[in-house]
Amino acid sequence: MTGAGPDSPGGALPAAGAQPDAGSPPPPVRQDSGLVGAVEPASRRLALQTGLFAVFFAGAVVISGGLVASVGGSPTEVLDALLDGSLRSPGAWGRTLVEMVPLALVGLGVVVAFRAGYYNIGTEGQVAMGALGAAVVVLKAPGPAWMLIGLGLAASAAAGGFWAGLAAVAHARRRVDVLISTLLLTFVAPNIILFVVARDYLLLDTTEANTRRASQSERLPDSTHLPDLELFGNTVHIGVLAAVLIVAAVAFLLARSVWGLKLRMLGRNSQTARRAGVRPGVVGGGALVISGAAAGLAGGMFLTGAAFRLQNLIANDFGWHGLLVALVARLNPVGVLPVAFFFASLRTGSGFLTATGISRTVTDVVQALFVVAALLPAAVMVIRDRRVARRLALRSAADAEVG
Amino acid sequence: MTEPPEAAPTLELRGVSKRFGPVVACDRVDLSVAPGEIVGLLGENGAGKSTLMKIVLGLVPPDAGEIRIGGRARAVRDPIHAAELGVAMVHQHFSVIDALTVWENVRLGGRGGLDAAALRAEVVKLSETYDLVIDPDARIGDLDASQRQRVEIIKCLRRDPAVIILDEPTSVLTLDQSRRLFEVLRRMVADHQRAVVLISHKLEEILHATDRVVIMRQGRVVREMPTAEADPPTLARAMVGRDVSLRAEASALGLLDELAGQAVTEQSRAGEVVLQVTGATAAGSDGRRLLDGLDLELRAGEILGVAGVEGNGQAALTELFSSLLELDSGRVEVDGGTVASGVPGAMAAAGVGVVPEDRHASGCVLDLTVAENLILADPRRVARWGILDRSRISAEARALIERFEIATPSPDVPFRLLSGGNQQKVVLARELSSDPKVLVASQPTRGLDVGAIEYVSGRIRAAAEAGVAVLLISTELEEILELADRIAVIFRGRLIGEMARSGIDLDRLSLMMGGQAA
Repeated sequence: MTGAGPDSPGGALPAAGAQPDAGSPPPPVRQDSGLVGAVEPASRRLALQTGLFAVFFAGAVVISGGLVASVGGSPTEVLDALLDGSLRSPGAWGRTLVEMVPLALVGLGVVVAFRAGYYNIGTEGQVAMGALGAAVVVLKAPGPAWMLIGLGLAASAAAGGFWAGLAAVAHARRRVDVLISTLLLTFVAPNIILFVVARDYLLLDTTEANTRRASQSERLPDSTHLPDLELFGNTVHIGVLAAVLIVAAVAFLLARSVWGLKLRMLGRNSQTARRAGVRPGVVGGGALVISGAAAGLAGGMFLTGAAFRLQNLIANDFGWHGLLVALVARLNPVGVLPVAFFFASLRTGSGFLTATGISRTVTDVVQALFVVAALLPAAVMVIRDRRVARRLALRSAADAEVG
Repeated sequence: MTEPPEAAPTLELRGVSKRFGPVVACDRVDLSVAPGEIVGLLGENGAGKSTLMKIVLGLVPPDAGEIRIGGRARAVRDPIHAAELGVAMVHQHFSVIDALTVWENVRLGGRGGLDAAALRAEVVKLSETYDLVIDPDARIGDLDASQRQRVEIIKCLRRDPAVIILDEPTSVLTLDQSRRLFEVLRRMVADHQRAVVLISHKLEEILHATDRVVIMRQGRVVREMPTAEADPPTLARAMVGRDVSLRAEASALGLLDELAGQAVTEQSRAGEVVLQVTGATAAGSDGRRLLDGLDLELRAGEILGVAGVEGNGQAALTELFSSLLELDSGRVEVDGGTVASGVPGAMAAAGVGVVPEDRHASGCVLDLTVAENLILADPRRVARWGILDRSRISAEARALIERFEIATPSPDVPFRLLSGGNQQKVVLARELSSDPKVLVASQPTRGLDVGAIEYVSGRIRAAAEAGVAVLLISTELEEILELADRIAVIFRGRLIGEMARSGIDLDRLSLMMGGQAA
């Protein structure tokens, strides 16, 4: 019901409180607005975050430079290689966009699960299971190629969702900690794939090309690869488009749908949510399955769009980096895209580092430095927000004087 | 100041100020306490009492001013430093460990070895000196609230403080226990020349137990006088800052006798039985019984007050109606239909509205907006095909904000930023706007200022008049006497007796709250 109907409870409020006794001065009002603090303007936050980002990024460049110089390399060459590999060389940003797809999908799934308060950190395993699901369908199922692509991607989402769903069921039934179960399931996934790609009656590549019977699947037939798009001289597959659309849809649903409200409620205050009828097993467990499905789809798209061959380490750190993407984006679904692009450029760029003659260990450290630089602004903001929240809490405690 | 203290003050504050952003919590406060004196610090919620005491204990650094202890200016670093300087506080909420014994808990607060015999002897000696009867070997878990408070006081006295600060000490005690506490305090001050600061928002307590009263309002000391010269109207006016009707606002002012003496017109508006609870039994995760065969019957249009000392199952009872607690046995029926316990949303769907004791824990979501908090009980109502209709949410929120007089600049402000009274209004607005059959209100006015208390009480009364069956769960007898038509006492997880508001007998009620069914 809306408005104050004549028969509504509270409609006939007695004079108490509403008006002070006639004749006496009105009671003092301390906060006219009813607020105990002010909202920080978003523009200021953005400026601060950008500034922090620039500072930490510059720090990473300087430290990497020093490190490269100390092992006899040329810092400028390294920076050039990073930029060439990710953006500047022909076709580079197309490769980076392709690399962005799994990162964005994993990151998006993590955002959904974390927002519901379900800490899914097993995305690496879910990516692997997704790739397995896609490989099984594409290599074994009959049917025309276009259908196999669709079915394969659906199977990848289902497989990733199933893998995360195990943790959801264990949590709903037996209160098994999601953080632990998802993490441990991650280490099971590659072993299942290893088993599958090492058996000739399953997915082992038995063609003549694989004379040494290496543990890998057959290469997917060209007709079952994700179709390519030509973008200003760069080649990307249609997964890029799909990922952008999926991110936009999920961001909209999280912010504007009943499902999104229930999910955010559950994550922020599970008691209030339960009282309001949100079933944690359904909404929270569902969020976990969705995040697994997103990670699985990431694996499926990586397999059918870039890798084309199943191996036990197919997930290729996409799961772990996707987690970082979600954290750096501060669980904002829209932020996932630019952050995923940044992480993707680091990945494609550092591929070019080895060409400069710098040892692999040093390039790994350089990459890690940039990851840290990307994470630190978010961490600083969290610490700052906590301080602000504490100040607000102190202020409202002074205001309410409870305890 | 009306009268210079006879002895040099033990604790003296000069011009202490503290701001939190735009809010001035303490504004040039002067306060002194002399040995052998009990000073009452009176003020409504938000007046700055607690901030002032936090400054004295070193929990909050002052912006300006001086704290003098024993005649010397001191910068108090933290509560341990304060204790070393001779200032100790008994907090409103106990910090004792249930699984340990009395002497073990007493040891926890201090330094030194773990000599059981010596510590036992020390507890016995302290309890004899101050007439605080307690068994040093009793387990805290087996003690009642007043005994636990005694342990807290002994912990505090063990440091031999010159100044003892008591923060709302009676909130966990029955009437009788409060009276005894004040006798002990009186003796402590007279025989041992301690100085005591008693923080309270209840006039009666202040009049009863103090020598001098200092009244704070909006961070300032507005009045100071010997208690002997004070009367309720003067104190109430100084505390609230306007003329108040002692009758109408007796509950908010803590005037129990005023309330008990008020004639009540027997209203026969109670209708059909709407809520029936039979044999409700539930255990906590530690196996302790939270509810133990609780029976309850509530009729449309009546307000049943559930009185009792904190920790006797009130929290579990609220959780039961919030669908957060699953019963091991027993049954809840609303309007004749059984409602499953512990199933998310079941109680709300059956028409049970809840204003929880701790609204931050289960009444609202701090990080959502005001508008989202107003509709979160049933978001489908304002959605089409699962997508929230923003303009409808906004319109509904605006209507509720106006109808319930919620002070907020816009419905889209984060709920976290509202003041306590306004947050409570949002919870009330949401629960009442869904046309509940039953309203469960647990400590609905805790932590609110006088104006907000009146407002909330008025809303609850209006709801009952409109035919809602109201269950009012409160440890504040004032709140219950103010609102309830019928009063039941909860003790160890069950209701052990009841009486009509018109035939109220405070002494009998107090006995029942202590567990003696009379």
